[in-house]
Amino acid sequence: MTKKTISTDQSRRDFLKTSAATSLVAGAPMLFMKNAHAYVNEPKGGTVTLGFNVPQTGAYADEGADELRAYKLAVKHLNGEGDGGMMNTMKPMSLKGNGILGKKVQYVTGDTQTKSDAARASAKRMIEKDGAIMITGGSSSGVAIAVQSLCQEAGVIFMAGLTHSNDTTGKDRRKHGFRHFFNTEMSGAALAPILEKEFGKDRTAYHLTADYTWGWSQEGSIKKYTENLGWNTKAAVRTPLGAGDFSQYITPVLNSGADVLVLNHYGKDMVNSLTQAVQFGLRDKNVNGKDFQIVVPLFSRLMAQGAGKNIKGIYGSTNWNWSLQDAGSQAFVKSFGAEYGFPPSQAAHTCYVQTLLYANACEMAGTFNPCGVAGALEGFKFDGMGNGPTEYRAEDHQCFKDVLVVKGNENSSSQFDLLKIVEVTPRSKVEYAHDMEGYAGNLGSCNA
Amino acid sequence: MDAILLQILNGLDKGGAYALIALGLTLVFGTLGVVNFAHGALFMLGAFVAVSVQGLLTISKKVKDESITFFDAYKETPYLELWWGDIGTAIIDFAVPISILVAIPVMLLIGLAMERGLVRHFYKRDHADQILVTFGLAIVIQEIIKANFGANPIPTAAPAAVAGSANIGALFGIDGLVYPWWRMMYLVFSLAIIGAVFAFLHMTTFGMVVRAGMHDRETVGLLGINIERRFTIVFGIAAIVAGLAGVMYTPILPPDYHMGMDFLVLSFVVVVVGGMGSLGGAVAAGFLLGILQSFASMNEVKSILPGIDQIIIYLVAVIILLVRPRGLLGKD
Repeated sequence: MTKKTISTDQSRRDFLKTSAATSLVAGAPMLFMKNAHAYVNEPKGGTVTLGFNVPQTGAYADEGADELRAYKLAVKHLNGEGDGGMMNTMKPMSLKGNGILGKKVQYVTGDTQTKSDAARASAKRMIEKDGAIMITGGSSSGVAIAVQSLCQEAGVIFMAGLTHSNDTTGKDRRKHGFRHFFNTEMSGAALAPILEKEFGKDRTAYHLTADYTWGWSQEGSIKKYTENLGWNTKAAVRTPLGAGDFSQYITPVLNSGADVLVLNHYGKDMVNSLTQAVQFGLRDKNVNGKDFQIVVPLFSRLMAQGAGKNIKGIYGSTNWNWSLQDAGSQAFVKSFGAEYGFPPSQAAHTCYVQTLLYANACEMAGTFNPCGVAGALEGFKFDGMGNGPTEYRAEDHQCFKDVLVVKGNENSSSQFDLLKIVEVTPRSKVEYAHDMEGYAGNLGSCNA
Repeated sequence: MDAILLQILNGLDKGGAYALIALGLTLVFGTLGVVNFAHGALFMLGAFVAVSVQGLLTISKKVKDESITFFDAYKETPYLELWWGDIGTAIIDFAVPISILVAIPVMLLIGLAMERGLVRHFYKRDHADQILVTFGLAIVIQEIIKANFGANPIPTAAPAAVAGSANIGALFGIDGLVYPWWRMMYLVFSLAIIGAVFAFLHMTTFGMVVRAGMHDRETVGLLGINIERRFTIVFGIAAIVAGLAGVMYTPILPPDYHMGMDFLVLSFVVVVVGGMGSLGGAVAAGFLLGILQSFASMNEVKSILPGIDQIIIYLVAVIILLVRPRGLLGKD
């Protein structure tokens, strides 16, 4: 009996030992394999592929075309070609002009068509078929949020291009997503004091709003800040993205009693709605004893170009303008201008900066592993990129920097001198808590 | 009162565009029996005739922009301005009206080429085949325009004299009621074109034969009349109507390669609501749906029924087809 028991114990011990040894032997290749494929699209050979996902058609095609120009320029500079642009001014910087981590940078492009489903399909193709290690682009917050979420699931980094909705780094923030561009909360905070100074506290506003996440976000922020000033909001009307003819939404404004029209439109939509608002004589009107005013909270030089003389004297905010005199801006404008014959837009600027920031983070982390790259970007403080001292806030992956309040230039010195900087609002005036009500979100964890 | 007047005017100028496109569409269906999905592309091609004329008139000399010191930038000054000064500037300013004259022969040729080259081979085929081939043709035309002109809308301004607003309130005794000159001109223009097409069909021998052919093609053929040739010309006329609608629309909406598709779906709804093949129905439905769309966009309506502005046309189409399956003026 005893003998039998001992025999059984030995057998159990042998079994456990054998199992452990088998597990170890069987698991060893898995460990090696894990190292071999530590993360999605780990670059093999001498090149690394970036995916540029921009709108080449649709309401934001102008911005998309300029974004793509900037990306191509950034790749040139990363690979040590051209004059180096902002690589001469960025501080601190780990880039060496030999690609990223010694690998030559190549790229693939996609057309988001300014549609979330098309943008996701395009990003998926770049990740799965082209082996893109990072996706960047945007020009629509709806697109940016959709692609950011896809990149989180796919295990690659998303460096957002032009996306202005609070949600991108608010409730829809992701561990793998980073935004250099400012947002509607910052636009509202920067614009409100100027609107008060120029138009006073007793105003009645009428909003026309692009009916998607960015439009809602901007309408909310501008309403919040202008109502705090004492302004009354007469109506906020949603218009479909890419509506083209906005006349049926503008005619009700004419006799609504409002004396300010806030156009929460961007790109082609803003050019059309502003042009049509001017055609309907809104800027010549006098309502409530005051001159009627139009405000375009998010402005860009490309839009100003499209809207022509209609933009003169109209206030808005912008992330960056080519007329800035700091060394970083000048280096970028010089480089971009020499390449394409005209200055870059704010969309081009943010995309160029994002590409350099990603590359720099890889160098800092010493790896392309998205967890390492995200770690290097979180809390990263830098300067020399055109916006003064800037910080990638770790809690929501939003960049904090100064914001420009601009107005359509009434005395242009050149064909490109379309926006006049009215105020550089310091970072401290536009900063908010990362867990502010209506803004809080969950980054989630790294997926590699 | 003034708000209602404005929405009616707005609906009428929108309806003018719908009616013009739908008129050509239903003319082709009524005569040739072809469901032409490339008709929107003809509207877009008309708009691009204006873009091309503007491009030709503004061929420029590049002059270095000395105000830019960062890099070499160039200003472009049109040769017409360099050669003829203010007269050159005035000619450029009138690019859109000049385009109307250019568009008539250009669109006629495009229409004839489209009919002779492709569409006539599908007269005796199913409507499904016709839809597929003309839709394919529309995509091909769209891509050709995109490849040559890019994807971005190209601003094409109205002459400066009519770029502003007219004080129409003075006519009705309402203070401060204004409406853009060009939109009112578009309405008048569309009514004139519609009137001209109806006059052509009802007051000329050619038109009489065409109408007879629409009713009974076989009998007209037995009388020794070459009805096919006349129908080909009708296709050309439909192309001219769509093209002119496109030319005149450019100051309202900067054209891009996709604008034809945007209008095509609406125009089909207009044709169906008006009654397939009914010219009067197409015109009536065009104006009716334009006005309804305009009223549905009013804040008072949207606050009760959010999003109604985007579905009103389809909603009305469903209701009309339920009540009158052959459309407003369609015959049983």
